[in-house]
Amino acid sequence: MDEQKKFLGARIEPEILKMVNKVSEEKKVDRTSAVKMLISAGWKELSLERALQLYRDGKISVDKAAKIAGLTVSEMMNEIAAHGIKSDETAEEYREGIKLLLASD
Amino acid sequence: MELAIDACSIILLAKATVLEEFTKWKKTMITEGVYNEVLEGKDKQFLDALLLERLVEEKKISVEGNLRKKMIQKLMNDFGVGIGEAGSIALALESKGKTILTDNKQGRKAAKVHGLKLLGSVEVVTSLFKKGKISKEKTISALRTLKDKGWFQDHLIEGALEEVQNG
Repeated sequence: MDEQKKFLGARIEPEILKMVNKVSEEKKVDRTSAVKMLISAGWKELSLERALQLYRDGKISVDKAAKIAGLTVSEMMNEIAAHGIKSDETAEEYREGIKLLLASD
Repeated sequence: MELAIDACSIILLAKATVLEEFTKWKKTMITEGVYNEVLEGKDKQFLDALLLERLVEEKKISVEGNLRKKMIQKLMNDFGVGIGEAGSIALALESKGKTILTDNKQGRKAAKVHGLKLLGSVEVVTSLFKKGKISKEKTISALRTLKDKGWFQDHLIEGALEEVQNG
């Protein structure tokens, strides 16, 4: 497993280093693990942001958005609703739906 | 009447606790893709996942495979939908009823382009009440749950609530 790991060196600003140190201290892990945790959390956040934007723009469906964000469909639906993105069903479509359901019994 | 349901509507109707009543009333079908998408929540003990698993085991919802892969791939490319949503549209297109229940924006768009009959979860709840399948109290509770989930526009749910309260 270790031979699959790659070395990544990066110059970081003092504010970012403070974040690394804080996570390291709070989570009681070394700084390498703290950097990995922060990158992973940031990746999740960015993926969710991208999924929400694509869904809001009508480019993708909920299940595809869930895949991008690394969430279940149920969790993605909660995120979509929490960000105020609503279904575009109209009152007319609703009425047509009722007619269809009641007529086909 | 037979109809295809996508993951989104399965989840919403399960949370509103009317999925089982609906499957007793109408013949409902899902694809393997939808089943797998919803069941991803089983590890987290999501109600929708546990309920769908039971309803499929009890054969109240049928899971259909053998859909045309080419059609599914085309739908995925044309509308940016995942395999579950694309499969649901393909399933509706291949079924006699040519009807889909979906609350997914892209799914609804694809259904309209392909001339499918379209249903949403809010009218399912109201229709269950109108047909006497669920009580007024249960209907109001289901509509309030849908409102709390924040998925639908408020005026749509408010209109349905008014209809039920006056009905």
